[in-house]
Amino acid sequence: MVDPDFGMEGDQTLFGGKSAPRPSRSDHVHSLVVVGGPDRGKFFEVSKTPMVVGRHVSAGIVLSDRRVSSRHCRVWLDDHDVVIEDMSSTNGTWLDGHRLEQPERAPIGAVLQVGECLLRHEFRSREDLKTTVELDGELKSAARYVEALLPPPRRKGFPRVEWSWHPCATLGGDAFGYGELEDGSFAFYLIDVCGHGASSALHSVSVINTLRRRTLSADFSRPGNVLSALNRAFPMESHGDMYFTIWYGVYRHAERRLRFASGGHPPALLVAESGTEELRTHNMPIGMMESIPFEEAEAEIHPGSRLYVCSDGCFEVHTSEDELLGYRDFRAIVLDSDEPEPKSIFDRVKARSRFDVFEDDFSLLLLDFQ
Amino acid sequence: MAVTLIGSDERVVELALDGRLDTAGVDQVETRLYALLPQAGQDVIVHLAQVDFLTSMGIRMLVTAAKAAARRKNRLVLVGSAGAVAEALESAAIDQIIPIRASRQEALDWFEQNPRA
Repeated sequence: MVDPDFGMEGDQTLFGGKSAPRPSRSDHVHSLVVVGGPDRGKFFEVSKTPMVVGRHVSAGIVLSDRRVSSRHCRVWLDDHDVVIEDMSSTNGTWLDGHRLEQPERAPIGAVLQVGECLLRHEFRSREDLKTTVELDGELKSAARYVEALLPPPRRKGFPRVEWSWHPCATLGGDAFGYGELEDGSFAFYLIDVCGHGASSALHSVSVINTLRRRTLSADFSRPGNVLSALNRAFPMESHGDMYFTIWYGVYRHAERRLRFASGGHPPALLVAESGTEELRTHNMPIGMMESIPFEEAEAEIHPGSRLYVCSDGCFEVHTSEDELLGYRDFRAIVLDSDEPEPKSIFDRVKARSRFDVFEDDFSLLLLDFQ
Repeated sequence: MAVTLIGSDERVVELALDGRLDTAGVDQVETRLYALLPQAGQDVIVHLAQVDFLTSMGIRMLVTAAKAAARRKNRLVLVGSAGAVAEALESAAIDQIIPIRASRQEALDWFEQNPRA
């Protein structure tokens, strides 16, 4: 059935390209909505009159990101596309992942990137846009809440723990925690809930609170037992079809032994003088299938070793050459440097990334057994 | 992102996925993929050779499809994954719930060697 509010307009040609016919509504406006970067939540209506996007106050669309040039690019509306033209900006103007060499059309849904800012072309009523902005504000609040649950770096105990956590623009489901158990051993974990957005963050908070408060019927010194208990507590069918991956470890200093289990999670990297080991167990993610056993394993921890526990957002990163980094690349980034701290590793991954705002949460824990 | 029915006989339905299986890609194909799953009596081969990126949401879609097939007493096998996609499946230990084979023929062999319960 045809929506009576919709009309169809004919093809228009610009710069040699064809624009597909698109619907129009009198109460709707074409806008660029900032969905990533420091100005997330703002939106700007686009008209046929060209508008400059830049950092300078004279620009029609002012962005606060330092990687945005004073006068970065121009945008205007042509038919139902936003046309974008780079203005010889320092860091380039990107449309759906490729750098603009000439003016290009951005259809509804296309994502423009200038500096760290991601702006999505949306065609919606002003009321809808206001709601979107409010929801983005809620996501920011959710990110702050997740961050508030993360423990501070551990600089006085043994092992020393440092971390780097950077939520993606749409907020992923990464979270982590650590603490001493009653028997004096040290437990730590990192989880990654599938998907992005408020639902993933809510699930992540629910899981992390269960682990923090130890309200799970499990022996927290036995990683396989913890994963089994989590799997019973969080089946995906009763949790919005969401599952999560986890890396859980327990370190016993007296024995210098690490007992660990991972479920669908990237291997942790154990870096020692004698060599580097990838620590994982071949278990499924949590919640995916009921009544399956979870195996655990052990590793010896030599003095001076470092253990890195990461989420897949640390390496599922698109480079400027449009290649996808993998775990091997991440491993090389960690090992090929004298700067072992998570913040430094984040900076090195970021230097390889096409985007300053990652596509997934970046979470990296370092346990230093120095 | 696209899902295509590339073959069907009385025993097996073959579906091919093409593109990036991330959140946006899953939104585009999820409903159609589930709609293409056969009723009881036909197994499913899902070809992944043309998928170049697989995120947790893509894995969730494949697992949900395998569970839907299992509820109809059908079996689902993934074939042709390579590179980052194979790495993502391996990292998530998905082979514990969905058989993963290198080729269509290996998938057919697996169906032969593992009779329905």
